[in-house]
Amino acid sequence: MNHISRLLAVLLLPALLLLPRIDAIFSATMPRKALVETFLLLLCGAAASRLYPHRRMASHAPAAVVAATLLLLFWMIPRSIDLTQILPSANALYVASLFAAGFLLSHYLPLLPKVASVAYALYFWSMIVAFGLLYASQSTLLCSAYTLEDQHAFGWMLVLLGLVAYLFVLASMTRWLVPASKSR
Amino acid sequence: MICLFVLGVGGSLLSAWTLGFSAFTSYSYALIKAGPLPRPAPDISFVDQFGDERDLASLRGRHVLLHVFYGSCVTICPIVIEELRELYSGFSAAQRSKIVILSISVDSLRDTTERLLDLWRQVGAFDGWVMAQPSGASFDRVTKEFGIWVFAKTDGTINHSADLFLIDRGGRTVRVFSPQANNDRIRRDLESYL
Repeated sequence: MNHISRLLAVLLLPALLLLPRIDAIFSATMPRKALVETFLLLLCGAAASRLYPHRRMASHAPAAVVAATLLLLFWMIPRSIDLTQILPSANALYVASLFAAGFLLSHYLPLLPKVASVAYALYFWSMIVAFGLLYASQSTLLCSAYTLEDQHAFGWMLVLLGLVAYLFVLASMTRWLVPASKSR
Repeated sequence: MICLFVLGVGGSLLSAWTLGFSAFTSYSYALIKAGPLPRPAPDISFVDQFGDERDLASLRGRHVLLHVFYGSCVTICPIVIEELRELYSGFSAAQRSKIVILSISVDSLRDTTERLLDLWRQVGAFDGWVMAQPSGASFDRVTKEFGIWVFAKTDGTINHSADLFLIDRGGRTVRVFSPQANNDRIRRDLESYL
């Protein structure tokens, strides 16, 4: 598989998600839209970043990671999720920016010092758990495009995902710290 | 330096988007965007449950508790209407003569005058309770000016703000009660205005 066909392969899903019929499948429930679609786009962005391994500048890493985090934060806001259901252009922005966030995180996070990337990962996943608890515990509808049941399901899924990922990062941190302490 | 720039620009955009990190939902955004209280209530033209064309100005001199709803709602609207029925029936006749409940439907297609009349009878047929559908093409502007968010979904359901707006005798919106506000609190607040 040459470079162009690999690039087309990772761009295929974001392009499909812009088609109204495919978008309707993901937009049908909040967990599909705000969780499954988000992570698929992040994964596509991460896969795309693997196609450009040599064009990385470590000095840009903090700015790139901050930009990716802000993009993710923006699409965690209920009003932003609503907007994707009202304006097709907002949905296109959602697809493009989450793809870009995945690209930036995968491209630049490994360039940060190990301690910084682990601290970032722990903070990121704890933020996801906090968001999840917020969505799961609210008895009022936060996203007007979805139902309260959807919102609660989405919240608990975020909590579960966040906790598993947090524990995974902790476990990797332990693996990273133990050899370091043994070598002293 | 670039990092601080990205943080500054991104933070400013997020702040603008959420009106200074205070409005994260479409409902709260619409409400805050409408402006601080008290504010003049926009005039609404509506057709009541008897088919009469009226407007908000025709209710001047009485306090108006306004909210939006739709008759085929199976989630929040029946709860709000039942709470309002309990609240209104708890007032004395003298107090009721000073308060009007104005329930405006956001579903003009299904909530016909006949359907609204049925609903009005179901909630107790109070003289001071108006069930109406908006008339004229300006309802979108009015909801925006009130701070009401309405989102019609493709499956036929309509998500909308469930706040209660208290409009005083002079036609100013003076209080907004969130759906979580209990009847005791609303009653106390209303009595302070009577």
